[in-house]
Amino acid sequence: MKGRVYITSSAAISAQEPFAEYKRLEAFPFRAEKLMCKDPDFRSFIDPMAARRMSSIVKRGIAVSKHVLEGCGLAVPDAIITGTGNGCVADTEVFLSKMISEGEQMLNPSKFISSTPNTIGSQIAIALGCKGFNSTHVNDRFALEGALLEAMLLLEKGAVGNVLLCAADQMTDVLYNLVNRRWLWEGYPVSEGSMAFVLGRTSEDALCEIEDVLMTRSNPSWEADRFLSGKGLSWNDIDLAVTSDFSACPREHFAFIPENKTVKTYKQYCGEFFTASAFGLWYCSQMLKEDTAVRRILLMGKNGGAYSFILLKNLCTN
Amino acid sequence: MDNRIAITGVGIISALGYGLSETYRSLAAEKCPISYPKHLKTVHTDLPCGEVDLSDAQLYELCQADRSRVIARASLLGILAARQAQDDAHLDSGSRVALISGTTVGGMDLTERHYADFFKGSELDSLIACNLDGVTNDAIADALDCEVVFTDVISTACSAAANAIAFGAELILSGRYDVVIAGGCECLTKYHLNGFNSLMILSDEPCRPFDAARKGLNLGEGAGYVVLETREHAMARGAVIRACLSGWGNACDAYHQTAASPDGSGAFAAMQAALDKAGLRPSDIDYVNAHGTGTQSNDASEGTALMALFKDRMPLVGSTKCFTGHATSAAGGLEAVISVLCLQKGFVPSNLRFETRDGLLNFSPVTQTVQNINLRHVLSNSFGFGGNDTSLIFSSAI
Repeated sequence: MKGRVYITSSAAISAQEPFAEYKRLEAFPFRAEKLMCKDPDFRSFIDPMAARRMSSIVKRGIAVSKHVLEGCGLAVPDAIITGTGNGCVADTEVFLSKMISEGEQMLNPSKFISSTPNTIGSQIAIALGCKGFNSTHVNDRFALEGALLEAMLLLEKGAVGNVLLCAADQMTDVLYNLVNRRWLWEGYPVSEGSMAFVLGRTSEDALCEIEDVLMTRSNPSWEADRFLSGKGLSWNDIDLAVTSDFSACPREHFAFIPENKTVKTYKQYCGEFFTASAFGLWYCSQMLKEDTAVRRILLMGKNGGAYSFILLKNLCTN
Repeated sequence: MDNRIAITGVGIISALGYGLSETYRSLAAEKCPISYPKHLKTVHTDLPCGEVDLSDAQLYELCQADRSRVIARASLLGILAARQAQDDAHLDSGSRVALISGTTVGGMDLTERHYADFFKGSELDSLIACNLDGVTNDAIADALDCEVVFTDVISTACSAAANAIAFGAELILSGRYDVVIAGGCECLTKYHLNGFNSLMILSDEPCRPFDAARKGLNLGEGAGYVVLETREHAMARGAVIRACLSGWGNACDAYHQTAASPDGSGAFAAMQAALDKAGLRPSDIDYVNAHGTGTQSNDASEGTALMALFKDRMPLVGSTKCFTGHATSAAGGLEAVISVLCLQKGFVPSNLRFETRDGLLNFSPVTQTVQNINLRHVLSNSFGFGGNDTSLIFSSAI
């Protein structure tokens, strides 16, 4: 018997105010220049000496993780699973540039050490003293989704009681120039963010239930129907569809959503980055806590030709 | 419930060669392919590596890949190994599979070649996007005959491929996918050669895992993939079961970003978790394919953990990185395939160049190829930066 999985607590460091509240989000215009993270005071989370050597993506990962754990009174999680599209790209750029400009000589290893994508998850583990399961998924726009799927597998079978799920990406000047020059992200405001979730096996004080997650490279219309029917559900049971498109055309890449469905978006609040869908998951989890009228949300994303579906259920409907 | 996962196909390319028979021949003959870099253009021509002796052009040809499409070397290696695993398992266009890869450096070979031009306004900017690990993996998925319905990449540095295989096993057990192709790919790049060199953990001689006089590791490259499915699914479609994946364990050392803890607590916890999952005792393990990189830190830490786990009943221990070099994120994939090969052929490769026991350790690794040995269970270790420690247990098919 598969156990149920719940989002116990969620938090975001993004272009919004630090650890923003769902009801106080500022919407940014399409094609806003650049949306940088608004950082909290890191001194309340990390020893300033240690923080000096850390890249912003690592500092944010630790801060948002500690914040979300405090939110549910958990000191050390059973497992830490991280998702990141582009990893510690700022330190990668520093080491790469030096290597090229110095002709492969006299390099300082510190930026190399902190350039692997799993630096985020392992530094969180060191900061929390967590020796449990630890993994990092790096899969473009589906890094959060892959990490979430692995967390679901562990929780469903009861291999762990809770999981700290962290998803993060950072912006750099190089990345910004690349994206802008090539118009790679279709004019979405280029941004960054670090989100954290505590996932657990009990509904008590939880924000919502995660019924399932699916990523597929097959036909999204069939796959969505099959995903829902596999749970004895249909589109009629979905009160709200949330897509990764921008607010001006929320169905642009999701033409298979039935016309009568209400569709919302979240990128007007966080901009575009590889793990923006983690902001979407934070947004939906907070909405389901606040709004009892929305019973089920289907949160959808797109990565090239592949689609993702995260099915969330309001706990007030039980 | 039987948690054992059937392995119905394997594929490998490394410095040892392409495919199982070349790999076996080189291992059994104790032929060490580690030499100075030939295809990687670096100033560090004095650092021995386990390089796949094929140029990018030759790899394109072997892959029958379109030269107009930009494909990272890691992907080319991955295509060759994953295709071999697919064909070995007799998967065809009607098979719906998930592809899980471990990789970290990804397409860095392309990025480092074109990075400087990018700032001059070159049209090659899209190559920077090849550095993304997900792009590296999707190029492999696109080159397979079977229908890849789901792809994911795990990036836990040197344990990435082992974690990809463990994740694949969990996906099978959950019933979400019937067949998973899992493993890892990584190519040599100037980026991580210089990174490891700046850490002063590269040996200027072929590496000597567990030896008291070990001087560090040699980097390697390659790809190794296994096809995973339930035993029932394998038998129903008449597939040959080469071996089983019977246990997997993951733990975090949570000690230091690059150094392993002196007591090897993360390594011990990962091995113990794998044994628990498999329902085995330490005495059931016949051979440990060690992480054994040849660095002071790893071999001392891993050796200490092995002594704590096996006490006075140490099984055969050896590192095959003295043949392949350390293929970082692909290492767990290469060593998974080598472990299956050992189970099938009944042999244990020699831990080359070992002479003197480390004073910290009470055991010596295998110093001569062991043939005609009945192996039941092989434990394979992969430990990464950040203390990401993973152990896999492979068992004979019977």
